[in-house]
Amino acid sequence: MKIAGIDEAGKGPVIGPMCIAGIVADEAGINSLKNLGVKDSKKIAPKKREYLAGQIKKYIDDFYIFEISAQQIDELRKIMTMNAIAVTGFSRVLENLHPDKVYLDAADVNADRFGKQVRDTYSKKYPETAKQLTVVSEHKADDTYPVVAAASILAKVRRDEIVSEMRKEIGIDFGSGYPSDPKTKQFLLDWAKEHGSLPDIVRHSWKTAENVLNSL
Amino acid sequence: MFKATIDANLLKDSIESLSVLVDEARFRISPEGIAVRAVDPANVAMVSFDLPASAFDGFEADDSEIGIDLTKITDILGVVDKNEKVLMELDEMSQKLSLHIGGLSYTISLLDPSTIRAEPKIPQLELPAEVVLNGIDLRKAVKAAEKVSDHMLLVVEGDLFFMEAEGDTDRVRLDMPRDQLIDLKPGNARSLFSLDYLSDIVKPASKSNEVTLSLGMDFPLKINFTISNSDGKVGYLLAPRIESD
Repeated sequence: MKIAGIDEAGKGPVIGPMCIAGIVADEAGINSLKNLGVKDSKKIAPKKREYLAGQIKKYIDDFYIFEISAQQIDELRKIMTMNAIAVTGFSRVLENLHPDKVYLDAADVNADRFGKQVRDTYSKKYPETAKQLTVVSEHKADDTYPVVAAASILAKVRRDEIVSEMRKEIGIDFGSGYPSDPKTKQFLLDWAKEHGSLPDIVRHSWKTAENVLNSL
Repeated sequence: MFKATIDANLLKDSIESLSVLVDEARFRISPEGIAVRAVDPANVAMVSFDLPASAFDGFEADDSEIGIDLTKITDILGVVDKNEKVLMELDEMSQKLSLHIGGLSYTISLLDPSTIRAEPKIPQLELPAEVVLNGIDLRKAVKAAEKVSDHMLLVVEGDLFFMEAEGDTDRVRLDMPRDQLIDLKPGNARSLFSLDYLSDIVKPASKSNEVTLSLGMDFPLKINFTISNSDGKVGYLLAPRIESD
């Protein structure tokens, strides 16, 4: 049986993409992940996380990471909610893995509804495989299932890579990109004052970004 | 010349992986990194250690060989916070190595490499069975065996890996089926090992979440893992004890 886990990183930040990672493995592979000690990505130091990502890739059958840039998020939010964007993204990952069973870390307050929406979106493209698919959608699934924990690690490592690349390109340390990060806040304010606008890597549809631009 | 910066924790784990077998070692330094090959005084176990330049925060070196008293380094690192960085610098003229850690500076005299046992030739063995497991689980098994015996049998039979220790009166057996392992390449293997050595070797190995054991029939055991999530690699080769029935 092909078992998959899907989780996202970067749903909340005001800077950078959202990365949705899925992995698929057979039962032996799931045991490998469990015994490697994969845990929720937030509980692991960044260096160890990168190292684990490499180990994970050795024991799984396949993985897929779907990235949605800040600009794409802004465009999509004109017609969709953030939850609906997450549903689309999770389904996109499923379409690349086609497991028999999938564990989702629910990106919606209502975990069951999230699971149902992901399945519905997936079944529009693959009605036959969707019928065979078992969907388990839970909060904190990354704490419960090693396969989801592994997906959360790949998602977080990918987002960190992209964000660190962005910091290099822009030449300013803007921190984590989360609105609560003082470095991120300061960066947005300084940039807006200097340029009268915000760069493309910022999600303009975020309240934090709007407030910064309104304060000019 | 040799000048390098490294995480104190990584240096500590590196030294520990060697000091479980030897007190003194020859370090072969090159622009690519540091390598050590050593054998314990009783010729039962060998270690091969490779710390490439990429494992350091900074690394500049020419080819050279230095002899280090490992206990000195262990003592010094004992008082160091594990998140600190260590800057190592070699003074070739005076044959001294200085370690700068925060405000602390240590200068230690090196040993003449020719007074330390020459590097062993590590035999290249083809071993039929391979087991990959979490170092913590390996350490648990060895601890359990220590309770009853001074040696331990490692067996792979098809898909099953188990460890057994038999003392004068008591016995311990630990089955590790596939679902408790990270990976298993089935093959027939059955060899007996001294716990004196295994107990020491599993100490550094228990810090790795991915330890590879390669086994055969009355054949040496290979134990391979990486050091504290770095590019550093350690491999041990432990000679078997031949069972006498």
